[in-house]
This record gives sequence, structure tokens and C-alpha cells, in this order.
Amino acid sequence: MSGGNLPSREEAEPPEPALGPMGFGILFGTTALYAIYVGVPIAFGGPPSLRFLTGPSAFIPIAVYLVVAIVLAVRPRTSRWGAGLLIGLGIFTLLGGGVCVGTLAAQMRGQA
Amino acid sequence: MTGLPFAGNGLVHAGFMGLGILAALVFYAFEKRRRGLTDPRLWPIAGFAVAFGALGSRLLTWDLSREVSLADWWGNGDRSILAGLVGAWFGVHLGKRLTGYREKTGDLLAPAVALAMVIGRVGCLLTELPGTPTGGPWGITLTSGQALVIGGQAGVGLHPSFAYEIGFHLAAFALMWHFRDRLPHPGDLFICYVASYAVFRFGVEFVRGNEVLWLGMSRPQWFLLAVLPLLFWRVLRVFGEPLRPTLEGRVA
Repeated sequence: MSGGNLPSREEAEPPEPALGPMGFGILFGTTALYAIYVGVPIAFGGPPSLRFLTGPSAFIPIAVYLVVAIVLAVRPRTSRWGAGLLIGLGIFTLLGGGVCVGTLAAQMRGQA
Repeated sequence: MTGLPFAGNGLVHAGFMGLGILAALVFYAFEKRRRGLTDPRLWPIAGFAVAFGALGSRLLTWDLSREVSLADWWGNGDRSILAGLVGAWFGVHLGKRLTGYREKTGDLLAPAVALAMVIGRVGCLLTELPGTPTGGPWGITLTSGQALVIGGQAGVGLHPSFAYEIGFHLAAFALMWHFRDRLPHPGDLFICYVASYAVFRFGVEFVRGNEVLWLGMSRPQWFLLAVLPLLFWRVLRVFGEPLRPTLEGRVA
């Protein structure tokens, strides 16, 4: 229970690390994902002219991102970075980014 | 209540969802500090919850019987809070397993989830089909244009089912805040919250207006019917255990 988790006031608590790496991870992660799934298609003149980011391969960047974020989150030295990247992935997926991935993933099938 | 001026507006929906996630993370940080929890693994675990919750809300609703590809489903398929909660639960367990964190985290996460739901559901209330018709004066009446966008009935008062849900999560948050240090075991708060939400959600589905799957019940209701016995068993353990020492004392 939560009360059991409360340490005695006398115990010296290590200072909590600054929010910096995690906040930066969130910002970097969401920006990178929007850049890949929104910026790149715009830069290439729309999804039809993108062969490398359509069809099932649309899921590759997000899968690689997830693996990298998990590895960073699990390693103690980079855990806050990883946490930020994971939260960034969640924000991207929930806030419209998922639609972009779906649109690209469905693109090749639509062309066929 | 009349009309739904933001019907089908994805930006408004996403905005409130974003605010909900932000509020949940701020509350998580606050509660972590209040409980004196400084373990650095707790933030990655929160990250696992958010990421897998988001992925779960999209992927775990994938209906193979509709013969829709995963790509199509990802882009245009159903979204579900229940699937998101299952995904988040899996994410937390995966995060704990990978980081080697052994303590219970549910009590830390449950009020944050309730807060996110209060705010996130405002986005649903403003943009989605409110519910089934009601004769009550509190019903939301859609214009023909709004009904066309979100696929509802125009000119009829509809149950504001998301408002009911906001009320539930608000009450749950207040109760969890009140009892946050009073339940006997770690994780009890989470169990009580999830179980009560499951019961509430099962009931509110009758006025939600979701597609009926079988025997007058929707897909979420069938899912809840499957998990409710397990949740009920867990709740019995929460409220049953304090009685045992008393009973044993009497026997002795």
C-alpha cells in the first residue's frame, strides 16, 4: 500500500534528476516521428511518390524507434532519454500521427 | 445541452487527449514525489505505459473477421480506451520486467489515469456521437449536419454518455485521492479503480450507441464480461483479507 512506500523523513533521499533528458526525449521523439511521417511525404510531393515509406514498410521506422526507445529506457544511464522517447511515441500515436502512418501503409495497396 | 459544435473535429479531440496525457504525467510526477519514490526506473515504466497504451488502443481492436489489413486498421480502424488500458497494463509489466522493478506501481498510476480520462473524455464529449436517444432534458440534440458527420440521429436528445463517464472518473479520482494512503495492500487502489470502471463501463455501454455485437451487447461489453470475474476475485481479496485476522482470532 502507498503508506508503506513512504520513507521516514530522516532518511536522506537522493536528489531526483532533472526533467531535462526526458523532456528532451519527448520533444525529440515526437518531432522525429512527425518529421518522418508528415515532413518526408510533404517533401517528396505526397505519399504516391514515396516507395520506401509506403505499404508494410511504413511500420519499419516506428518499430525501429520503439526498439531503440526500449533499449535506452532499460539502460540505467539513458533511462530518462528512453522514457521520453516512449512517451513521445505515445503522444505521436494518439495525437493524429497514427493516421499518417496508416495512410502511408495503405498507399501501396491502393496503387496496386 | 443542445448541439455538438465540434462534431468530428479531430483537432479538438486530439487537443484534449494531449492535455489529458500532460495532466497525467504532471500528476504522476507530483504523486511520485509525495510518496518519496525516487527510483529512476519509475519514469521509464510510465513511458512504457504511455507508449503501449497508445499502440494498444489502435492495435488490440483489430478485428480479423472484417478482413481489413493491419495498415488500414491502424489508420481508420476503431480506437478503444479499454484496449488502451490493456496495452498500458502490458506495457507496465513489460517495463517492470525489463528494468527489474519489483514494487507495485498501480496505486501511483491509477489516479493519473483517472485524471487523463476526465480531460480526454471532454474531447470525446465535444466531438463524438454522444449516445442513444433519451427522453431526458439533458440530452444532446444534433443538427442534421452534425448527425451526418458523426453518424447519429438528428433532432433527438441523445444520452451524453461521455459526460457520465467524466463524472465517474472525477468521482473515482476524488475517492482515490481520499483513500490513497488508507488501503491495506500495494495495488489495491488500482484494482478497485479498474474493477469499478469495468462495472460502470459495462452499464454505460447500454446508452453509448456502440455497434451491438450479439445478444444486445457491444464488443466492449463482451470483453468486460470476460474480465469482470477476474476483477471481482481481485476485489474480494482487497476487501476480504482484513477480515481474516479477526476471524482467525475468534477461532483461536
